[in-house]
Amino acid sequence: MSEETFIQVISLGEKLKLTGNENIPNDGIKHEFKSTKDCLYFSLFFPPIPLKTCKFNLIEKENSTGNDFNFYDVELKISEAIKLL
Amino acid sequence: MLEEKLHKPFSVSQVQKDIKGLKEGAMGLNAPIKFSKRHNGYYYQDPDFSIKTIPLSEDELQSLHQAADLLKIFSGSRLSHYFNDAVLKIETALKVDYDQPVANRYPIIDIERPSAHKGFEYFELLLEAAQNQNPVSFVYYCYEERIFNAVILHTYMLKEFHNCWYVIGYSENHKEVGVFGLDRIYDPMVLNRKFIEVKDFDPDFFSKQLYGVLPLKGHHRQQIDFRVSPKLSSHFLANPLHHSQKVNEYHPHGTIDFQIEVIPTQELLDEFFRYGGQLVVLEPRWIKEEIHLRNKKAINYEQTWGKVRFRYSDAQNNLHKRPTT
Repeated sequence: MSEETFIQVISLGEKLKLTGNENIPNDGIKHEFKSTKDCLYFSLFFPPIPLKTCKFNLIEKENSTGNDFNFYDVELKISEAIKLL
Repeated sequence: MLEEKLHKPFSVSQVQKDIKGLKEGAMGLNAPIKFSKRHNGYYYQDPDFSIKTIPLSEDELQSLHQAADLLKIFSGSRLSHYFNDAVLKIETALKVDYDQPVANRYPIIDIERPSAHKGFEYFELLLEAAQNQNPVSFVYYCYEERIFNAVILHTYMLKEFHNCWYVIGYSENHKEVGVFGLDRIYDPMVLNRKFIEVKDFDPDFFSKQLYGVLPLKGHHRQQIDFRVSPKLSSHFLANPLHHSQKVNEYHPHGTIDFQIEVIPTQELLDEFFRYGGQLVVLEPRWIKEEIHLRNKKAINYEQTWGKVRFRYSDAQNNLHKRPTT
């Protein structure tokens, strides 16, 4: 995972850069999948998003060639949030 | 005075009964209580005696340590940590030094270690969630479909089967009671949310009526008859497949017909299948056909996968025939 990965609230424009990750290697080290059926569960950490209801993009690489870990229009809705104990 | 201290009425006979219980070991205390005519009351003959310090014998303490060691082998988690702390507190109260086994002695009891299985690290969290009736959210990986789903589960119970642990509860996503393997759970979190109790949830359904954990949909509890080879018959007599297992018939050549009454599960079909030609299902027909189909598929797998070698035994058919003498 690129260390330049960030999330960007569409309405705000500010880039919130990756602060940490779990179970996925950083730049320079590739994770080798054992087969086409293999999967990897990992976590990425970012600074808190300032809005409770918004859409954001998760971008590994801007101007992506199509092979990067980019997700667009991810929705956050406070009305659907669940409280933790 | 008792009534004044405890703000409760007492009868003379009740007090006498309690004193008898304390003296005679009914509560495990064997208190050294004597009556003093001079003071017209009861007293402890041993001034250092107190019911607040539990008098455990050396055998009882040894048993506690053995139980803690067994629990440690089984769980390998903080379950045994709390138990060990409790035993230590008891030892401290008694001011007893218990001689631990020498460090280089081999363990006397050995079992398969479920704590090595993935997901077992969440056991305690899920156990507490069930005890405190708190819903839990987690990401669940479906092996068959190979997708991740977010699940909100109202946990009712945890079940172990063949060293694998499962959590059972009401799933908000599926709107029904479901079974989830701990090995497929990621990031469980306890939620601050109203706990949903399904009124007709029957724990016996999962603990006694099933063989396994994943009931096959559309199938009710039913009688299943099967026959085992002479080679397996003693094994099944000594290790019943299910508590409902009964012998239907002993055959002269050593095969035995058994019956069980269960809700059929995926695990039951797997169990029948793994015995190959040594076990044949007699009734119901749909299970017979299912096992037969699996055997046929296994032959096809050899052709598809290439490296897998499988030999299909025809002995399954021969179990139906009487031997010729």
